[in-house]
Amino acid sequence: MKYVSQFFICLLILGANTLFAQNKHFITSGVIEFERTANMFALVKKKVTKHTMENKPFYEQYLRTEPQFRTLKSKLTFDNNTTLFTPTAPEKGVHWWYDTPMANQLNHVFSDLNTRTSIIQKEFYERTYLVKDSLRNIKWKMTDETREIAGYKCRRANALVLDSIYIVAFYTDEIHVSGGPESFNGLPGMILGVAVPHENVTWFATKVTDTSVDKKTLVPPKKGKEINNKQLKEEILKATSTHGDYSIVELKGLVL
Amino acid sequence: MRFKIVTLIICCCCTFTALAQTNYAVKGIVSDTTTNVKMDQATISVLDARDSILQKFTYADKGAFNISNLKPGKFLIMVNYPDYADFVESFTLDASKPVYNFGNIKMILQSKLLNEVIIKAKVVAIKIKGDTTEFNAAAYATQKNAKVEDLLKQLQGMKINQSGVIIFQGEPVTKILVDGEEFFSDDPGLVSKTVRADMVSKVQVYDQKSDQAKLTGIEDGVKVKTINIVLREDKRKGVFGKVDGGYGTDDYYTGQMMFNKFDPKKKIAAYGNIGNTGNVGLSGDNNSKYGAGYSRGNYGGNGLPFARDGGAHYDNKWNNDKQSINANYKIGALTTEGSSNTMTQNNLPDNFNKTTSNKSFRRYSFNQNLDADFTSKLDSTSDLSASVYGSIDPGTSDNKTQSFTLRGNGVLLNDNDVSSIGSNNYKYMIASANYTKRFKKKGRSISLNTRGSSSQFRSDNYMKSDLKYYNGMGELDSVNSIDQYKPTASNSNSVSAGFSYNETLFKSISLSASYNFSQSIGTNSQLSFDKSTDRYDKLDSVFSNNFKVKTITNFYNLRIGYTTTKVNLNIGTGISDADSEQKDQLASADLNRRFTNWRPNARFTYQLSKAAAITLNYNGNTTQPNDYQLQPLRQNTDPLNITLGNPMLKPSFNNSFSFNYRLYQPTLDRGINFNANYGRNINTIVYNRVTDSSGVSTSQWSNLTSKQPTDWKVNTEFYGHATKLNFILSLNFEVDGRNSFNYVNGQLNESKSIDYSPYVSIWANTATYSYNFNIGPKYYLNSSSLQQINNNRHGFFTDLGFSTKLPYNFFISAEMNYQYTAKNKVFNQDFSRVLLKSSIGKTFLKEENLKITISGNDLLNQNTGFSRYGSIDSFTETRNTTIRRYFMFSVTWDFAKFGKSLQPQQ
Repeated sequence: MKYVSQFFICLLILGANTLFAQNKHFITSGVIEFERTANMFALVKKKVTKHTMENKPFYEQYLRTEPQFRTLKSKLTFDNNTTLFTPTAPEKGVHWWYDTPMANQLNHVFSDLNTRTSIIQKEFYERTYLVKDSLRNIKWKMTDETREIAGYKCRRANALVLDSIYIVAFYTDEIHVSGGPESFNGLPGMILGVAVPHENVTWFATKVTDTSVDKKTLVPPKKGKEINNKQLKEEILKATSTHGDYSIVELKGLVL
Repeated sequence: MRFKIVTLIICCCCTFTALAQTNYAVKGIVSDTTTNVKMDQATISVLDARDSILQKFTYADKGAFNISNLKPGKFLIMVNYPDYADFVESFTLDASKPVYNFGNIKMILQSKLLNEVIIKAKVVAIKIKGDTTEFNAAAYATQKNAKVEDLLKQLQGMKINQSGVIIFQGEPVTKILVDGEEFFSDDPGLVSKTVRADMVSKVQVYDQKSDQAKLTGIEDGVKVKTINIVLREDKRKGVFGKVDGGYGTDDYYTGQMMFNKFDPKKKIAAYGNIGNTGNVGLSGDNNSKYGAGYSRGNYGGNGLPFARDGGAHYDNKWNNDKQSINANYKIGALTTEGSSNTMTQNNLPDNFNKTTSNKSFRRYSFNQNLDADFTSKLDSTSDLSASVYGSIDPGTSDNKTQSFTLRGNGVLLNDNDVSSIGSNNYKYMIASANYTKRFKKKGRSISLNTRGSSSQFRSDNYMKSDLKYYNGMGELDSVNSIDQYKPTASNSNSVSAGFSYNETLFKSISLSASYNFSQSIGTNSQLSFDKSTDRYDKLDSVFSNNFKVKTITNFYNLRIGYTTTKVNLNIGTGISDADSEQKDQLASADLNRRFTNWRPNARFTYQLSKAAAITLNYNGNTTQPNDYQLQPLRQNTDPLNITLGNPMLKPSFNNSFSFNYRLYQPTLDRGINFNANYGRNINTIVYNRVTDSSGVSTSQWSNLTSKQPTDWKVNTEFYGHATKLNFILSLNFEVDGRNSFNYVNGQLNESKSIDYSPYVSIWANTATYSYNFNIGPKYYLNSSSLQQINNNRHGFFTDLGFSTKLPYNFFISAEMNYQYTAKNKVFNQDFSRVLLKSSIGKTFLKEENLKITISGNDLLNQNTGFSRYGSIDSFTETRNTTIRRYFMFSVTWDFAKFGKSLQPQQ
C-alpha cells in the first residue's frame, strides 16, 4: 500500500503544471543599436552597366583589394511613440571610385507614429535636404516564420516598398512601438531586422536597451532644405539625369 | 455661438457619414486559459484572409480590444503574447454583421500546449499506444558504427543484464523482429549485435502471443515480450557487417565475422564466431521454443568457455509478396571447463545440516538447428503457411564432486565422492501448417492447423559414488558404494490438429472459438547396470524404469474481444481434457489418469490519453503435474538426495494478476513505468523432504490444501531528461516477495522472502561520448519457519561506465562494476568484488570504421562467480571459476554500404 500511495503522489507531481501566466513587461522606450551590412562586391558590380564598362577594372580591383562587407552602426532612440534614427559616423569612407549611395547611411530619420509624419535629414552628395512628409505606408504580408534577434523572438513579414523593392522585416511584439530602422515602420511591434535581398543590404539590431529617454535627445533634425518626397524624387532624377542606367541605382540608394 | 454651430454641423456630417458607411469592427477580450487572468498588452493583428496582408493592429487594454474602421471582407485575427501560443482564427465582416465579437479569447501557454499536442519540430522520443511502446531512434544519439544493442541500452525502461539478456520493464525480451519479420529465429542477442543503430527508425516493444497460441488460436496465457526494429527507408537496401579479431595474454583470443545483405524483399545474413573470452553473445538460442532465457548453448559465466559458432539467414518475398520464405541455420560448439564451490544449509525442524561441495566439470556440446517458414497467399481471401524446425544436440560431460555434510553442531555427518562421465544426444523436430480462409463479411474467418513433433533423447553415463556415513561421534559408521552404467532413452511423438472460427459483431466485438485435438506417445527408459566382473551387465531393477505413456488431449477455447480506439478488452477461457495411459514395461503395472484443466484469462488495455496507457491482465492456469512428479521412479544419481514420484498428485491452479501503467510526456521527455504482479497458487504441488539421521534426504511431491503460496512483484521506474546536463535520470524501485511452503520431516515449513532493490541510474549518449552510472542498495529478507536464524542480508552495487573520443581519432572507455554482499547469520563471510574493464584505441578512415583496440579485462583480477540465494528450505552460496584478468589487442572493421552510394552516417 505504501508503494501505491508513493506512486500516486509522484504521479501528481509529474502531472501538475505549475506554470502560471505572468504579466509580461512590454518595452515602450529605449535605445536600439543596429548594424547595417552591405555586400560591397555586389554594390560595386552595379556600377558596371552596359554603358559604363570602363568601370569594370575598378570592380575587379575592388574584388582583389577590398573587403566584401561594409558594416556601419546606427542608433534608434524611441519614446512616447516617436523614434529617432541616427547613423554613427563611419570610421572609414569609401574611395570615390567605388562609392555608391547604397554603401552609406545618408539619413537621420525622425518619425512621429501618432501623427504618422516623419522628418528626414538626407545627405545627397554635397547637398542636405530636410524631407518633411507623412510616414512611409507599407503593406506588410505576415508569415509564421520566427527567429531570434538580439534576444527577442521576432516574426517575419514581407513587403514591397517604393513599388518594386522587396524587403523582409522581423519585428518583435515585446516592444510596443511600431517603428524600425531608417523609414521602416507599420508592424505590430518594433522592427529589429530588415533585409533587402536584391539591394544587398541588411539591418540587424545588436542590442536593445530598455530605458527611459531624455526628451531633449528625441528632437527632429533641423539642417537642410525643406522638401517633400515628391519634390525629392524630382530633384534626384534631375541631378542624375546624365548618369544613364546607373541613375536608377542611385535613386534606390538615396530614397530607400 | 458661431463656433458652436460649426461644431454641430461637423458633428452631424460625421454622424451622417458614419451612418452611410457602416463602421466595420472586431472586438474581444484576451485571457489566459488556465488562470482566466486578462492579458494586458496582448498584440492583436487583423490580416486579410486572402494574402495575409496586415490591415490593422492594436494592443489590448487590460485584455480588451476593439479594432474599428475596417472594410468588409474576410479576415484573420492573430493574437500574440510572449511565451503563449499564437491564436489565429478567421472571421467575416459584411453588412449583416459589421461587428464581429470574439468574446473571450483563451490563450494557452506554449509550454502547456506542447504537452497536449505533439509538435513537429522537436523529436518526440516515445509514443505510448495501447500496449505498444514506440521509441523514435532519431531521439537517441549513438556513436559511429554502433549496433542496435547500443541503442537499446539507452531506451527508458530497457536494460541489458550481464549475461546479455535484454529486459524491458522488468521482463525479459525473448524476441526481436526486423521490420516485423523473424531474423535469425528471434535470437535477441544476435539481432542486437548485428543490425546497425543507424539503420533503425523506430523500436517498438509489445507483448505477443506464443507461437503455439498464434497457430492454434488457443490462448495459453504466455506473453512473449517482443521488440520490433523498424528500419529506415533508406537503409533497407544495402550491405553491412563487421570483421573483428583479437589476441591477448594467456592465449585468450576472439574472432568474429558478420555479413548482411538487405533488400526490401530479401535479406541474407551470415555470421561466424570463435573465442575463449566468454563473449559467446552471438550464440544465444532459440529461447522461445525452449524457454528459460538465452541459456541453451550459452555460457553463464560459470567456468572457462571455448566457443565456436556460426549461422545463416535467408528471407525472400516474391510474386508481388504473395509468397515468402524465412529460413535460418545455426551451428555451434561450446566447451566449458571449471570448478565450483557450493555451501548449502538444509533447514530441519530445530536443526540444520551444512553441506560443502567442490565440483569440477568439463562439458562439451555441439548443436545444429534449422528452421524455415513458408507463407503463401493462395488468393485474396486465403493464406497457407507451413513451418519446420529441427535440431540435433550431441554432447559429453565429465563431472567430479567431493562433498561433506556437517551436523548443526559441527560434527561430520557424511562425505561423498561422486564422479560421472557420459555422453548424450538430443534430437527434436517439429512441423506445422496453417490454412486461413476469410469470408466476405469483415472479421469472419476460419483457420485449420496441424502439427507434428518428434523428440529423442539418449544418454550413456558411468557413475561412481563413494558415500561414507558417520555416527554422532564423527566416527565412520557405514559405506555405500555405487559403480553403475546408466543408459537413458526417451522418445516422444505427438500429432495435433484443430480449427478456429472468428466472427465480428457490431464492428467492435470479436468472437473466436477453437478446438484442438492432440495425441502424444512417449517412452522413457532409465536403466541402471551394476558391474559384474569387467562388464556392466547386471540390471539393478530398483533404480531402473521403463515407461510408455499415451496421452490424448482435447482443447476447447472461447474468446470474446471488444476493441475501440481507446479500449481493448479480451476475455476468454480454455478447457482441456487429457486422458493418459501409462504402462510400466518392467513391472507390467498400468496407470490411467484423467486431468481436466481450466484456463480462464482476461486482458484489458485502456489508452488514458495520448501520453498514458494502462493494462490489466488476469490469467488462471491449471498446472498438471509432470511425469517426474507423478512417476514412482527411483533414482540413485545423488544417493544423498532421493526423489520419489507421487501418482496421486492432482493439478494445481494458479491465479495471477498484473497491472501496468505507462506515462510519457514528450515535451518534458519524462515518464513513468509501473508494473505490479500478484500470484496465488491453489492446491499447490509441494516438494516434501525427509532427512534422516544419516543425512539422506528423501523427497516426494504432494498437494498442499491448507496453505496457498503467493508471490508478488512491484517494479516502478520514474525517468526524466535533465535538459541542461543532457542526461537521463531514472529512479527505480523493485520489490519482489514470495512465501512458499513444504513439509520437512513431516513438519510444515513456511519460507518467506522479500527482496528490495531500489536504484538510481544516470546515462547520457552523444556521438562523441557516453557515460552511465547505476547505484543502489539491496535488502533481502529471507526466513524459514523451521529456523530461529534468518538468512536476511544486505548488499550494495554500483556500475560506472564511460567512453569518449579523444583528439586524433583516439578513444578510451572504462567500465567498473562493484558488488558487495555483507556476511549474515548463515554465511560468515562478506563478499565484495570490483570488476574493472578498460580499453583504449584509435579509429581510422573517414567513417571511423577501422578500429584498433587494446583492452584489459578484470584489471584487478577479482572476478569470481558468486551467488547467494535462499530456496524454500535451504540457503545456498556458490562460487565458481570464471574468466579473470587478461589483456587483448584487437582489430575491428565495420563496413556499410546502403543504396547506390555510401551514405553519410549520422
